[in-house]
Amino acid sequence: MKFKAAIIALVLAALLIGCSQVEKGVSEVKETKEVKELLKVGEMWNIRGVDPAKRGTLPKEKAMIVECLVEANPDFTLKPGLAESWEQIDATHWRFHLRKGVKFHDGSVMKAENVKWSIERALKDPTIKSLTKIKKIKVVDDYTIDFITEEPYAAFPATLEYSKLAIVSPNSEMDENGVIIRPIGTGPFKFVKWDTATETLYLEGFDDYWKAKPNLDELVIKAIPDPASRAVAVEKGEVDFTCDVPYGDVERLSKEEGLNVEIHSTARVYQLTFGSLEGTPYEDVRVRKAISYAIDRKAIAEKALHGCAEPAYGIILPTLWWANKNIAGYEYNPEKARELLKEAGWVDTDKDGIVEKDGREFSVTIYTYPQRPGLKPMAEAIQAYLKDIGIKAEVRVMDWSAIKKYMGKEDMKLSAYHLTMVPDPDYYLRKTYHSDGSYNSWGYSNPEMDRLLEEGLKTFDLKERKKIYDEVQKIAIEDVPLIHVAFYKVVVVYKDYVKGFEFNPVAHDYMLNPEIYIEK
Amino acid sequence: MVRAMLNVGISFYFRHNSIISGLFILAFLIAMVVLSPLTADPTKIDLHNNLHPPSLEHPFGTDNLGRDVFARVVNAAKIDLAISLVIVGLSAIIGIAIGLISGYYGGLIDKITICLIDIFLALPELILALVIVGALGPGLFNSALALVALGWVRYARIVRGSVLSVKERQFVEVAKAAGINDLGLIIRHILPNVISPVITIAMLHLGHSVLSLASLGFLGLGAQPPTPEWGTMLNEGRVYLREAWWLSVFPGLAIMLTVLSFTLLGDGLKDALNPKSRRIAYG
Amino acid sequence: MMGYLLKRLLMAALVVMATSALTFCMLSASPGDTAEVIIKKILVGEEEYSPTKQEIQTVKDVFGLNGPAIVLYFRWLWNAIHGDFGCSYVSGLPVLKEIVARLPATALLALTSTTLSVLITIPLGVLSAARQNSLLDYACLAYSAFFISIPSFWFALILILIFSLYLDILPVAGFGSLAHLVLPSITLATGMSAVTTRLTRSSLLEVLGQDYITTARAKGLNENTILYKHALRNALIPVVTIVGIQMGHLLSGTVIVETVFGWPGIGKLLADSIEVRDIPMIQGCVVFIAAMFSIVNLLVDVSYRLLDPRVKYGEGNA
Repeated sequence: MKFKAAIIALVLAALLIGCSQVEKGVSEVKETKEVKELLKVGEMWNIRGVDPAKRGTLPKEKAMIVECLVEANPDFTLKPGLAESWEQIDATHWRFHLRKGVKFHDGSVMKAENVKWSIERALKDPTIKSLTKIKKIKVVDDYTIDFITEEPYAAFPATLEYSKLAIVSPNSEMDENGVIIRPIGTGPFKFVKWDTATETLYLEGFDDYWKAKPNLDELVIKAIPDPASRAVAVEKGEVDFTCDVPYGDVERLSKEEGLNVEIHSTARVYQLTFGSLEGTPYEDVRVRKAISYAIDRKAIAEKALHGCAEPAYGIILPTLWWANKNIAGYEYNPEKARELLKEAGWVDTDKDGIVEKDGREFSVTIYTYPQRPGLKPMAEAIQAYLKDIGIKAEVRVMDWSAIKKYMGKEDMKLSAYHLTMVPDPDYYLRKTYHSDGSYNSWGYSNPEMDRLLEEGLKTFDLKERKKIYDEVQKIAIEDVPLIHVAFYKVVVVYKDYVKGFEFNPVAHDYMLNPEIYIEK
Repeated sequence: MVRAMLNVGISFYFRHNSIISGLFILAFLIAMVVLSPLTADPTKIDLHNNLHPPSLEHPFGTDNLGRDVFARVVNAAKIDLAISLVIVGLSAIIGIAIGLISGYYGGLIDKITICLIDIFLALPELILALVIVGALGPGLFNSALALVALGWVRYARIVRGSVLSVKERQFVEVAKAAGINDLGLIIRHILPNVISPVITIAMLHLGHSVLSLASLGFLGLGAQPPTPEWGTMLNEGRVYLREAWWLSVFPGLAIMLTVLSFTLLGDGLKDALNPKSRRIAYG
Repeated sequence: MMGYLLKRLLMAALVVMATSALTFCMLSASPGDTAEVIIKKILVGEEEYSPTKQEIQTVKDVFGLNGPAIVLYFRWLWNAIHGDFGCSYVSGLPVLKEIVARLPATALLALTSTTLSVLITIPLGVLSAARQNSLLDYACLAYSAFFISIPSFWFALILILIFSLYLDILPVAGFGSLAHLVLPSITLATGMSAVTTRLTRSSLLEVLGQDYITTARAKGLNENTILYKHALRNALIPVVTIVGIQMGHLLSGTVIVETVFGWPGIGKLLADSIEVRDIPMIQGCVVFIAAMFSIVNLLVDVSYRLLDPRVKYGEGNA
């Protein structure tokens, strides 16, 4: 009997402790509610860290704790950030002039050594090193810093916009492994607390922000990885702002009182690639064009993806400065598709609905992966459209690491590429279209294209570069070595008392801006 | 008076009918599977009719690609049941073999087997399955593999126990004296005594397998779309929970009914085959 | 007793070690170089990135992935024994610290669910056995069969559908108030109580059929006294065992329930880590769960031996 009593006491004690933890969290949120101008954001990813060098997007784009040397406009043209200006000394030598008098959250002034420290820290990640191609960093004086790149790299300034290269103060608190746990940055919001149990980040406005004091007094970012929960949270007011709610909720939420639903196109593109362009049916450009004509991009965007995609007739999102707006692309035309297939020798001789050539059926497998919710329905829709023109397709969804093992030369893959990890066309275009490009596993090779891309890398005059990349896009659409289906659209939902939000497609998911204010 | 009659009626039903209830549901499921070719095409996409609620044309509604949910649920039955049967069959074969050898021969083999059994039983099954499938890569094959690798243990333990108790009995001594070899002894004399607990366990294991398979599917690690599988369908339907409740209700109902039938069958068999427990009627 | 305890502790340690080895084997045998996975899923976060050989080598150096799997495993084991479970690939923070941070959430859920389960089981089981074959009895049996068969994730979805989305009286998911605790613990408690109710009932029935009960009845003792003072006490012994085992299985159940309800506990941490192949975290979680499971089993076994007079006084058994 005593044993039982002991157990009951233990259980009660544990419950009390647990509940007090919970109550503490609740009262903290209640407390901040009394202060004016608080924005609560529902974040879609788990909050696993605040170190910019490791988890860049959260501290830079969402929590606005840190900033980068370079910033980008919504059309992907560059503008000064923490660096007022920059110039090129020679092909591999860049000089950046830092803004004077920018204060860190602890009051210290940002100087070139801090910049060097931050960036060198980030360079420990080998992918950042390959991205920026930085060979050496030199501090010239307190407000001037030089970067030497490994080779002439016109896209270099754009790479400094990448969130993991944000500038953070060496005074930031770090744990025993050098991982920053309390970042001190230059951004409009100061780090206050990170509650790992509830995955919530608490921030407050930084009065001495170099641009202007932010309108909000407090900012709370709460991780809500489940899309349905995010939708309910913003409806009920548990959060004021969130992103990527379930497709099925978009229509309903847009009709609801008191909520703004914005669907914005991003530069992330859904693309269909071929296993190989050598020794397969895809060798013939007519076959590739046929497939491109066969896909009803509008129906897919509107129906299969519930309006959360924009049909892609070009490669780059048309609102971006780098996009070649004079390309027609492939409008939905199944008749033309069938014709082209016939021209290429694919005919349905045995009338079974599937075309053949030289006795072989045109039968393929479309591979895709589960991480992006739009991919599966898109792949299945494409399967149906291909069937319509006589190509038999099977859809298989698997982890992308497994796709490499299973995918054959004659198969296709549907993926979602972030066209611009950095706001420069070189990153994606060269990797995809150059014969040595690291994405180009399907063996596309066009000497003219190669020449153009190499030149684009070394041409530093913006207008000249635009001309080059316009030509690149033109050839890319003519040759159609891979098919672009649609641009990924992000859904942002927020209460109508939240004002001043400006969407920027440069963001990885969504980017908050310090002009946001609450009007109740 | 009416109450008494009701009591008698229900008591009669339950006393004899856990098996019958189970069989009834199972028959219904099998009928679904057999009649599945008559349903609509589970892979036919109709983007303009997506997310429609249940209607005469689509008794369970349509999913986000316009596919008929009823057809998908029924076709998923084929997959879930078939794979579960395979899992149980393989686990049983491996488990019985190991149990027989270990129990009969004893010695080092037995000691190792006991150790293995204890280790496996001491671990939470779903967690291990998660890690195995997570490492090997998601898919039906890997899920089945993981569940077999974890499933043989329950058979080995029971069989070994039975073998140990049968081994000492008189008729074995007699048979040995008559000169029967080991294999013959195992197969003709020991095995039949061991079969009845195995069948009961297998039945419950079937239900458990369907649940585990669906759980893995729900976590995104099991069957991959467009293969219809109940757990995977629940995972896909989750995003539309509010808009399209039918995507989340029917596949789950199917899982529940299937597992229920196997559970009832297992319970009923346990009572039928084990006279001692009949007194208690359940449990 | 001491000897038994020692033997059990050793066994538990062996089990946990074996689990860690198994997990490690599986993770090393997976398709795709681990370094490549780290680059794609964690560093860059873009599935399509093609890492160069140099990048892969740097990552291997930084994350300590050079060498055969066996060597890496023993290095991990050596560190683990000294309390260093490494750092998460995702956050760079120590694994142990992250697990401990999420422990209260899981513990709260586990304890609440178990308490609820016991509160359902005991009355249900007792009433069911006391009035065997009555309508109430069959209702309880139906409850049992129903909740054993229902998939927990489906039940969770149905609860969300009804209580959060339609009736709007409880939150959908998350953590932060008592309201958030309701649905997840009900989901877990119903599953657990389904099994334990049946066992309580059958155990109680078995005890009620015993000779000493018949004797007590013959002596003229009140039925209730018999039920509570004699039968229940003895019947509870195997039930304690089952509750203990159920607490262990709870740990598996929490992975699903925490994932569905976004409950920031260890189960969800494990599920998330598996998705991005955060090997140190997976190892840490699995070892932790296996250890908890073993400890609970051990405690249950020990209390069983303490409670059961037959075992206590009958030396050399089991």
